[in-house]
Amino acid sequence: MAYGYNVLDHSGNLLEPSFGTIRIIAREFFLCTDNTTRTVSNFDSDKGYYVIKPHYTLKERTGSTSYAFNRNFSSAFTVSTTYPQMIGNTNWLGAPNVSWNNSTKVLTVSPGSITINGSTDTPTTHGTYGGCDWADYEVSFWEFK
Amino acid sequence: MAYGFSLVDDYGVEQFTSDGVLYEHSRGTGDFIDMLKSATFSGSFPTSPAKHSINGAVEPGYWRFWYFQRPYQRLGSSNVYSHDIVDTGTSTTYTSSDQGTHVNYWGNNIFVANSSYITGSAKAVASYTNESFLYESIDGTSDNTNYYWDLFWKLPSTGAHGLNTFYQPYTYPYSSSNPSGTNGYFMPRLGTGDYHEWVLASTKKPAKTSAYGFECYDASGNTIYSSGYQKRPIPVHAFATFTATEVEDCVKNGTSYNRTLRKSITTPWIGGHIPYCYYRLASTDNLDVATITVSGSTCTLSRVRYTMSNLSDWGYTQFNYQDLRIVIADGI
Repeated sequence: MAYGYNVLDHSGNLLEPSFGTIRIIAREFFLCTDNTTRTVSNFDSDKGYYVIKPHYTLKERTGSTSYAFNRNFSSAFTVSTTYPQMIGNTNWLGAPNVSWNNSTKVLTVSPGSITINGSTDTPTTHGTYGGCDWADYEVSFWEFK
Repeated sequence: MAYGFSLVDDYGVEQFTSDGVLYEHSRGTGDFIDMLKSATFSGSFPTSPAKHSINGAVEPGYWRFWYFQRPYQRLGSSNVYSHDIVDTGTSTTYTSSDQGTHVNYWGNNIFVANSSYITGSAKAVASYTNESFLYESIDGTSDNTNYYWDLFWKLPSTGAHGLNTFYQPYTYPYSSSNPSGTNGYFMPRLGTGDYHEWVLASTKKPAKTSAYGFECYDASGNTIYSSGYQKRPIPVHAFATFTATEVEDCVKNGTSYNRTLRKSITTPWIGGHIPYCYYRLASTDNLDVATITVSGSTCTLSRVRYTMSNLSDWGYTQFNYQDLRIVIADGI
């Protein structure tokens, strides 16, 4: 090893390499319909990165032609056996629009949109033919600090 | 820093602070789902993937980790057929009598089933009114508000098309004995073998041994680093971003894009969320899929073209372009 240090456990295994790893320094949660900004004052994109993680959940198709999916899991319910599909028929997993301004330390988010067979789908139009599956999401900020 | 000492490496990274560091929590091998090849939903829907009871990360339900290598499926009117798919350049072809009406792209469609396999009840989950806001959809644990969880997969040299996690609140689909839980799936390039390793990571600190080593404390006496952690940190060393515009150019026109990584990677693992992006022109048999590879200090976005017979009778041009944000670890 030309520089730095090594930390070994009692078996001599390397615990943490000297070139370091990354830390998650902040997390922000958003609804898929959010059109807003958040200030993350301690994040510097020159030193790290941000990651978008949608919180997808399977949902039940509730009609034969409506392509509406039951989105409410606030209580137990019996899954329909008449229209039993869960996330089917040309559905996409949609992602939000997210951008970061490193000068102002402001994260800007807005609902995503996907055009499917000529029809634009957004979180607010979810459920139309070929609808996309949208999910609320979190943005985590990773930094080599 | 007002007190103590600091060790900083040649990247300027402070070492003895483990807050926010991802540590390995659990690891294993994904289960291969081949349902799209057998494609007999009514008769042989798989009972795998196996459920994994992972201590500390299973409330509610179980995790499952699986991968598949059939990125395209065509369902017939009776929902019993699918087409196999072949990598460009192979001599294998597949002919189906399917003249059905539905097309499904795995990676976008998580699950489609008939009534034989969904007879259970959804699990009540806390008091959330919007399933999308369930923190449990990532990790199946209420700890998710306090700790970040992520799933990494070992990246084959031939690349991968996507990875994701989702929460499955239903008693089914896999079998009556498998309760609800969290799923993590991985889409390696077709033909990359049947052994794909995963590591579940969390910022939740591992258990410590106490007989040796050293610890660092903050001003309040909280442990911020211990050499006695029984799990190693996840060595995340690089990231790569590709815009949706680049993805579109890649899958439509075959343009490759490279990103120079912060550090050369010996054994790449990838994590985060990578959406499955593809382009299929109407009336062709081609399915062009965005693929991520990592070699040394380069992360590449390139196109893989799959072909299959009878795809051209589906008249829609379909595509999905999204930003790709790749988290890259080395040798987990």
